[in-house]
Amino acid sequence: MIKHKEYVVWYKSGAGGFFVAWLLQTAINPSLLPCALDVFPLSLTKDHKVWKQSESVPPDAAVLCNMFHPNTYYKIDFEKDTRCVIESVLNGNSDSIDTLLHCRIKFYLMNYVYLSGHITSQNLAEVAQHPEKFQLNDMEHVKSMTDILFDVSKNIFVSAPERYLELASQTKNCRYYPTPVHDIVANYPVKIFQMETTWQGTWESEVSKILGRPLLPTAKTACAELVNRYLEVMPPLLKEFCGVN
Amino acid sequence: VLIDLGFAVNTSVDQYPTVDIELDGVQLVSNLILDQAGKVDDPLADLQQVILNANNIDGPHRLKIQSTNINENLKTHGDFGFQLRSIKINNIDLEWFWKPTVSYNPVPNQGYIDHYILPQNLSHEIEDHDGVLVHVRRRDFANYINLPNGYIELDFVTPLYQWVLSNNFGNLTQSLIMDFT
Repeated sequence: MIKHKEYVVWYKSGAGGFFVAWLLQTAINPSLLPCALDVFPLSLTKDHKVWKQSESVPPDAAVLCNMFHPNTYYKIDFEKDTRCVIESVLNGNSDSIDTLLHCRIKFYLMNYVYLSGHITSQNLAEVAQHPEKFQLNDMEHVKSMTDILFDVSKNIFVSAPERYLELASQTKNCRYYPTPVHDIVANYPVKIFQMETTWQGTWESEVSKILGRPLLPTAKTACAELVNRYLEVMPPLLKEFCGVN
Repeated sequence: VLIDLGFAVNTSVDQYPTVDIELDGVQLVSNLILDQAGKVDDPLADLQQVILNANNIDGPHRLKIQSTNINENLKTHGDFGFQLRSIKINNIDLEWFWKPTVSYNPVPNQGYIDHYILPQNLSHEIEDHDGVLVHVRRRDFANYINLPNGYIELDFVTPLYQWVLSNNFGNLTQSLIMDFT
């Protein structure tokens, strides 16, 4: 039986989506700290271009990357598309699988099929040949597992300064999308994780706010260790931007 | 089925392309004037959005967009035609997956074959439709109509899920690939 997720972390490339998801996971279950640390190994300090190689999704917190608007050669209305996605989440109507279909599919693929935001050509071919292994043929199952996208209390939007995202794209080998998602989400009654709190030392209240309760001492200690690791392996350009030694 | 189409155009005269739009053989719009559309050669142009709501039941569908006023007289100073640049079905932008449109431009004369098709090695795109030669494109960017009686078709299925699954989710999965080797 596949387990439903408790939270969904939405983010743009480089914003720290996997970090936020694992921070929430560690707050929920501190015993998973070693798994969280494995996603940000010390070896990253030697080569930041392989930042994504250790990606794995936590068991309770899902991740969803770059789903605000398509990446296209032609002009599109980035802001309108982004608002449309957020408003669909807020609207809460999950009746049709076509609503936020692209988000549902990527959510399912990242969190229940590939367990990462990145795959190899071989992974892709294997899944394409055997979709039934992952219940991709079962539309009602995919719908059920992704209906969480329409529960606004369970969706968290990672907000990071644009300059941080630009630097992250340069140093972590990821795409940069110029849409100011942080400005847009700020106008909606949704849960937001402000990435700055990570290096400003105020992340605990941000996590508590999302969970709706204070962190237990063991959770606080484990989360602090994860935050320290994340800041330690951060690429030098980002460290400089964040004022981290 | 909610359909949202975005058009760009080419025109060098004081007229604009017009189109008929039909879904499953039923005409939804007749002689729509594309007078608010940006230029085809401008990738950053604003598009003319056309939103149509057809209460069809779920299942296979065929969308057809047919030119109604293209003729050689309108092309004396430059090309004249329309491009179907964006397609949203039930608020889902097909750009996320793929846009399997097919364009049908009837061959106007032998000169089209001699001076365009043959030099470009496109003979495989010429089909005989009941005695009429048609330039049929079934590949990316098959979205431009600039010959009399030309049209674009899109076959799709609602709900969209099984349809996009049949193409392994197209661009959505391709964008995930990162071979670290």
